[in-house]
Amino acid sequence: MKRRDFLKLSGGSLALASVPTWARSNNPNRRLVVFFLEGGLDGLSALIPKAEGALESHRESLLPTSLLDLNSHWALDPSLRNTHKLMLSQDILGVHATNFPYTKRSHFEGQNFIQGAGKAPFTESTGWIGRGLDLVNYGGRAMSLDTPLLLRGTTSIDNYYPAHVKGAYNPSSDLLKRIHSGLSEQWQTTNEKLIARVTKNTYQSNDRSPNALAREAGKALSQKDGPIAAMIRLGGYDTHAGQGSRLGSKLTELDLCISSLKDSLGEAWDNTTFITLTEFGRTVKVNGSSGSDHGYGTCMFIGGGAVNGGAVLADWPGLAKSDLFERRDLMATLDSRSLCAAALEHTLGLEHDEIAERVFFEPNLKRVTDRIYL
Amino acid sequence: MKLAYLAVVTAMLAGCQSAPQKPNGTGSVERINIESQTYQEGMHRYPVDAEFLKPKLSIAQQQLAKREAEKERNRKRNLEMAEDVQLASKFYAEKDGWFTWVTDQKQFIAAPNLKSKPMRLLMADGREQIVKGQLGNRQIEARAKVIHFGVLTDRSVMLIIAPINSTPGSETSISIFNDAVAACGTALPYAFGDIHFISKTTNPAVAAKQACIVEKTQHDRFLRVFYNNALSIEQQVEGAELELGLSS
Repeated sequence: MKRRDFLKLSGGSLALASVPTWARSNNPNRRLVVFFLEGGLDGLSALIPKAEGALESHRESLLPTSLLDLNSHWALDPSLRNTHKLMLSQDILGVHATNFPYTKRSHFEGQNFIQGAGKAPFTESTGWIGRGLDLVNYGGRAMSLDTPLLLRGTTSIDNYYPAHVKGAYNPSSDLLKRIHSGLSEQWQTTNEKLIARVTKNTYQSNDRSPNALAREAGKALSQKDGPIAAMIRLGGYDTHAGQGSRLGSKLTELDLCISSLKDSLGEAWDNTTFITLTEFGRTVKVNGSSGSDHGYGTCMFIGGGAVNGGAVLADWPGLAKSDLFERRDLMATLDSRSLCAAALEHTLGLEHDEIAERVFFEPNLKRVTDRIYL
Repeated sequence: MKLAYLAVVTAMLAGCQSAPQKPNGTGSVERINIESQTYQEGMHRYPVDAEFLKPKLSIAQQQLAKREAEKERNRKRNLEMAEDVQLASKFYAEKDGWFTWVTDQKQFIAAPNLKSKPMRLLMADGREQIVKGQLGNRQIEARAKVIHFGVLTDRSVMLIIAPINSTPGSETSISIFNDAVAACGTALPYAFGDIHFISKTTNPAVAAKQACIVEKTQHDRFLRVFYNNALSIEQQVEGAELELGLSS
């Protein structure tokens, strides 16, 4: 399969970083999954500060007609039904008014910056998860055509992409099938067994939707010697126009991904953390196309069996004009890097100070692990 | 001269190269100024309202709780079903192709003739057939649909019977069933769950009779249609000595 063909088929993409069992010294069963929401998630529409008086005046037309209530301050978009259930069962934590400290509102820079987590976009050739894996001497293997920056470390990571996706060419089984008719009856029997074995050991998923990828990721991560980290890309969050229905369907997709991941992980859910990341939030005020434009602060969801969920965590800045970043965007008052550092600390068993200094190059990065995990 | 020219060009090219990136965040690429922010100064935890909150359980605990809930549901269901089946057995029995339908103090016995065909239902066995029977002193030739939900519930049966040689209203119960099925867009939308109620209509004069043991789908669209139409029969034949009973 050509890379171009793969990209056409992809509704999203999945990358997994696996490690050899012998390399794991701490928390060998813990896993980390990142849902990367490309385009810039409108956090005010996903996790809605319903008690915020200025919300209606800014964006009445973007507000859903019904809400999934959490408490007197917060509610979820009605598309996030599974997420809501998992928040009520204390498995998901919402975090608001947060982002990486990137304020320039460029998709390319933002996505690179959030994965690279350096001092500026395009300064790093490794990602923060990759650097974390480096610190515990994990090599790795990415199940992806291109290893995303987020998972890249300095330790070499093999690239591997299973061939048996729909329409793919499987050289081994194809060759065996070609020679089959020319073999004697005795060898044909052996050849059939070989074909069965080759086919059995190849990747069977034909569905390239993010939901299917989340399911595949969950299955792989739940294996005893399976990958330790995964990144699933979900596109389409750049909702400049007609945001209502478009964002609703994207949030439904995310919601299904979360649910599928949990279901396919099985008991491994208890040892897994997932986080959502996006390059930026969106403008507080609705634009002329019933959408919103590139902004700054947004929301995140952090979930998993070990997460102290059932709440929203925020240093809420308010939505009055004077409270907004550059008088237009939700201010990010929580540094998302702290949340990512907490996920790394929990998953890899590293010290926060080491993560702050050597992964995020920010020695003063605040530690919030105790606020996230039980 | 050439050497001097080459040296100048080489120096210019070297100057144009960007500095190599370093994996420690110190690359010399122009940095974007990071805004100063008040991180974590007032981080607050807004818990989900207690009325919504559920206990946090591990997956193992969730599975155990689910199994226990299923057990309890099955226990209740079996209890209800046993009661309903006991009740149902007073009204309907089937053996060797003969069935006996008892309504109140009357008994209707019919033998299947040769005109019988399977209903080709997805989730149950069913047959449609012409039957001849007797209700009191009245001889009745009728069309019956007998559906066994045994595939799923082991004991549930639905019997709809409508005389075909009687008044224009005689097909009502069959058409009610068909309408209800059509309204649901599926053959047996309610085939899961418990037996819930038994409805029976007996009135030879109007000749709309039905004996139904249906699944527990009180809010199901099928049942709404069915139930509403059953009531409409009652209204339709009011004062015409129709005995209509609905018991749950």
